[in-house]
Amino acid sequence: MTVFADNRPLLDAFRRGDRAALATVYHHYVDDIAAVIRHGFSIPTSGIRVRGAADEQTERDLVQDVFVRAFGVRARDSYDGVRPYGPYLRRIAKNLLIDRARAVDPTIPLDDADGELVIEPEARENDGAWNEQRRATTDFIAALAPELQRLVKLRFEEEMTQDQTAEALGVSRRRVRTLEARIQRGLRKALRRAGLWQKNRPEPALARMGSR
Amino acid sequence: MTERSRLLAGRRGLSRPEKEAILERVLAQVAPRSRWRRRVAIGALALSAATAGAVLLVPGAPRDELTARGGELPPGFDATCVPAPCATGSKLVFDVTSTGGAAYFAAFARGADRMIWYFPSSPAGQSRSLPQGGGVLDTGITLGAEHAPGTYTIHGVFSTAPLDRAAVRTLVDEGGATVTRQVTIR
Repeated sequence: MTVFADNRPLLDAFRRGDRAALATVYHHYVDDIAAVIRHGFSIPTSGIRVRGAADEQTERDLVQDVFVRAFGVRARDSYDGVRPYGPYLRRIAKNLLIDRARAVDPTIPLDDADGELVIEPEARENDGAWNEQRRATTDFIAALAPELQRLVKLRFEEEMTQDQTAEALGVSRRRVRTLEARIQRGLRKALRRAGLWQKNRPEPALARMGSR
Repeated sequence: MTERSRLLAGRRGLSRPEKEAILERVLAQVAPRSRWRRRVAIGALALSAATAGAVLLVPGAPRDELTARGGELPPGFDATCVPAPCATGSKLVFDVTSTGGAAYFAAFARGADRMIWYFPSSPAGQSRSLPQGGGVLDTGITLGAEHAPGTYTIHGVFSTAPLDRAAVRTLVDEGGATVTRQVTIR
């Protein structure tokens, strides 16, 4: 169901460009859009599979592009509040991926962005590097003080905001910010010590599925 | 290299800090917050927390600087311990040197790792009223174990209507109207 269903005030605030309304809409859809950007999709009619973002930075950049396009003044004004908003965002995401893929292979059709979303593990998902880094991270977390372990659980695993985390821990938001930065610095050191701190190689943006 | 916040979350998708950072960049492009809008937002927040007619009083020049003749001094306060120096068992006393026309006062301390509320004294409370013309507040704060040794910044917020903690905190975090004093506890 679209986030605007039975919520006229949210739609009005969204159209005005109210930051809180934009944030509400963003958080409602961001995971779904990130999944499209991450996993890519297939175009059954042409047998082409458009891969998702090759690396995390590209993933973040593309997710940002989707919402910048969707939240622009003209796009907000032209949205009627009735059409499902999720598919609209997905289409923007798919078109962005197609544009990137066409830079590699211009034969990919421009107007076929209605392909099905492919949710299946890709090479990036299966590589051993993640498992190795995650194991080192688990060891790192286990060695943290209880307060820091709790912060990791609330802020990262449970995805609380800094304010919510601060309230749950009974400390200030500034303290949460400080501890969060300290944890990330500590993890970087731990990964470096384990020889796991290096850059990933980018992967091609396109793969073909069978013959055309 | 995998983003560290994803490793900490144990998931390969976008982490909460990443999502928040992306949102900030999106909003900066599609709905930038001007200084003028920010000030209006701060004012609106104070108004919403108060009854009609609430006004935040922004501190101006320190009171020991030249002030235009006939003009009202900006709001200010001193925080001192009795007995001095500040230590466990001392009483922290607030001396409002000028109300700047304010009727209410909120205050809290921020140390290296903690935040301690003075006024409002309870989570559901509101900022306390000021004596007309200022002066020493009748409510002192006895320093207990919660005041670990260290340096604290005491934030004071003056307003014409009572504010709750959330409003005060947001104002201070947004860089809004606040008078600060440093206190070192031994």
